Amino acid sequence: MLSKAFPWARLYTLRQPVQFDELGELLEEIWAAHSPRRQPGDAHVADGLVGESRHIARITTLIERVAPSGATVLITGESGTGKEVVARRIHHLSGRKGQFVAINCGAIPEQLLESELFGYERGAFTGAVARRIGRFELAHGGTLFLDEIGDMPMPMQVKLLRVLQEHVIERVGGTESIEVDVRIVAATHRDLPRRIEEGLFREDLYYRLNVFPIEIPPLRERPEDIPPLVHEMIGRMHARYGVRLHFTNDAMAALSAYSWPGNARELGNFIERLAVIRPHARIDADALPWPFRQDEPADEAAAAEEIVAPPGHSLPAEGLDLKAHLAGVERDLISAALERAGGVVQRAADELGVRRTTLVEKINRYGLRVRDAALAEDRDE
Amino acid sequence: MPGTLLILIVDEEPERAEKLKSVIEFMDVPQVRVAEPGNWRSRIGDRRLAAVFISDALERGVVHSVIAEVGEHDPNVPIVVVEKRRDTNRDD
Repeated sequence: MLSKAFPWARLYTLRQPVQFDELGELLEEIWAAHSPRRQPGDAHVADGLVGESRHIARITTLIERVAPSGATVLITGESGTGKEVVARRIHHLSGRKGQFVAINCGAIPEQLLESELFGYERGAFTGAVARRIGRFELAHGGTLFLDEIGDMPMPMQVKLLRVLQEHVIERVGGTESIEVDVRIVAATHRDLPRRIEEGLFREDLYYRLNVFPIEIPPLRERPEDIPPLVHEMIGRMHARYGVRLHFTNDAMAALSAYSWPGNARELGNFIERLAVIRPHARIDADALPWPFRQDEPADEAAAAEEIVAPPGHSLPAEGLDLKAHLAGVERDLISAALERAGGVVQRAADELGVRRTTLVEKINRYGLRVRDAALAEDRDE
Repeated sequence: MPGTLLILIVDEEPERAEKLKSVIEFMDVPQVRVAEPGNWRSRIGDRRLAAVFISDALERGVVHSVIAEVGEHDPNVPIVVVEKRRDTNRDD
């Protein structure tokens, strides 16, 4: 019922009594909801683009030149190349005091996109129980990042064009014209001139947006950027999970030779998957799944299984209960760490890269036996 | 996790809210605050919200009003509706 009354809201439900697993998953979702929307000043944004290629050097120069100008920027590149990173960097260096606000124009239904962009007045439609400002007003004095602009429905293109020309918006159901000072950065993986030929994108809007174009080449055209990206991701995994991964030179060479059709996003997902399934591992080329090994036949089914399961783990034909399976793996690793640490919980927590309080909770949850004195000491603190 | 973000619990029943706060803090979330429906804005100051947990035990109109206010504040903030407790005998 609440989702009908508040269609814009990111609503979740937490059952009572609270289960730690459920709450943990919910918190993960909450952090994930924020991670792509971090504000300028956060470390990975301030660090800028990662890479050593001439392409990255050129893009960095373009960003530094255009950022203070306030000009509209159109970023093009395949999915996963880091278009939003470029947009955030432009905002960060622009000196604009307002927020960086992002919206994916291709992911929101046409009817909702208008109210998302321009906001609405109370009573504008069923469920509009209160006035709500849209992304343009949120971005006043800042930057509005229009992602996947190539997928914006034609009727919305007309409305957007008007805002770009007149710098005023009207909330849905409202009559007041509201002036907005917003810097527009748009991005797309589409070939916009082709979309224009196909009648799917307005030519006048294209020229309004394409004031300062920045093209990001795919990762396969700049393999020298792969090792720095891998190291960047390893650092992030350490910060996020307390996990340390290490790639041998052969493994790094194999990663650099791979075409990465999903670009930096695919690389990031791959490293994160490894961090989860093989924490603290030293990864050599032989341990990489098929797509990274040149010497084996392309068996897509085997490859799909291999990429989600490290050597030694395979998906049984009858399937499995993933949660229970992972809990078993976690329990075994905690037992091993406690064993190696002689029952000293703090030392085991260090080995596992988790906080002591987290480990104590897991020890209790799995009913593991620890040297009584050591755990009692932890409980008393 | 983004360390500067704040999780806010909105409830009129302080004991219930503090209990939920303790559970969330136990999950290694460092910044959790409790507020009432009428004072949540002042309780967050200039902090950015990670999420708002709102008790479903509040009156329906109050829940709606807080959700609408949070939406005006920042429509991207996840809102977690904490279901009314059905099991009243246990105290975990």
